[in-house]
Amino acid sequence: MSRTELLNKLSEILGEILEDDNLRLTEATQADQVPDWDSTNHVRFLVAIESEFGIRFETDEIGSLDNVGQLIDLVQKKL
Amino acid sequence: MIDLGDYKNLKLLVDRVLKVWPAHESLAAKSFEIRSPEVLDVSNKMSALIETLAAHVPEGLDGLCKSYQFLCEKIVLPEELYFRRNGTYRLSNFSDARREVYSNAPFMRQYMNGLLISDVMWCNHAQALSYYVNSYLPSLPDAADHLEIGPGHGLLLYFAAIRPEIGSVTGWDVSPTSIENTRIALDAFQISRPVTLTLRNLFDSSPTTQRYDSIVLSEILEHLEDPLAALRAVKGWLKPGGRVWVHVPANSPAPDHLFLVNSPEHACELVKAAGFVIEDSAAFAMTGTTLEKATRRKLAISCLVTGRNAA
Repeated sequence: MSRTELLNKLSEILGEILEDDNLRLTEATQADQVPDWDSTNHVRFLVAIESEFGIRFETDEIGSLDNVGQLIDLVQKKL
Repeated sequence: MIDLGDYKNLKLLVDRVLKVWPAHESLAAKSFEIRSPEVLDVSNKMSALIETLAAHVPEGLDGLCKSYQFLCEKIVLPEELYFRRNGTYRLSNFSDARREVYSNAPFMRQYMNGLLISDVMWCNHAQALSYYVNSYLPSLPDAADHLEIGPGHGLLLYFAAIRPEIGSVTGWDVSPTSIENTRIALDAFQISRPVTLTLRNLFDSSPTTQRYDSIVLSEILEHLEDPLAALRAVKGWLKPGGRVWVHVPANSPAPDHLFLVNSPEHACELVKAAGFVIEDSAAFAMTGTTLEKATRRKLAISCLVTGRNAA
């Protein structure tokens, strides 16, 4: 899956979690720039990504991401 | 920075939290922007008590603030991950909680100190405390005998003890260490009336005939394997017409949370199933969301239920 396809899929997943159909992420997007993307919703987001792609995040990885681009790097590494 | 106006003690505490943990500012701002003046006033009083207590503990105020960051990042977050993956709390029996959590004294100290700061920083905790101070305690009859089971840092006991119309104030705990910590806190707060602290298990048969007009269970039921049995035991300690005030979190994973309450309605059902008549209830969602969204998304909610012992 390309980075663009992954970015679109992550936007879709987070949009469902935050109930925002218009949510569009970029690789530079940070959690504090998105309303409602707090620590609990971040965990919900990562668990939804796990379920979607059949991967597993380590606990230490939850708080280690600065932006969506780093999340894409991490997901690609696990695919 | 967050403008907390004339709430000096609150401002001091929040500034210290953000000095220790600057990245927490945006969540803290969300937590304070929705609070009414009544809630802010209670948070300010809580902050003053915490600042007083900080002078009597080796960690000091910065240490308490660091424990709060540890609570959020290292204690709650891994449990949240488990909860979101599995839909259940990680542990379900007391012996596991004792082995993993309660027997680890340094961990427990950080955990408890972090929770102390959460009473100010988390808006659902702050709103629950405000409800207790401004709605529940004033509703008690004059000269009420008031008991709190598991009083922790003693902050709720303090707010009961400073009300002259309450007749007697008592705390029970099963842990000598907890009793000692509550005593240290109450001494630091310089309460002018006696507060009885007793090492007692709720389920022990009583050698006395003492019964209470008010019993508080604040963040206790989720730590038990069988909260319904505890509520039934509480009923036996109440006078006819006496009230139980329950504060239990829904969808709130923690390393020693065993019983999952999944909604405010579930909390009310528990109290009702124990034989109480529901007199009042309230619910406050975690920071950054509404009650409606929190209910739909199964996010943390502080559930408050007042039950009357009609028997």
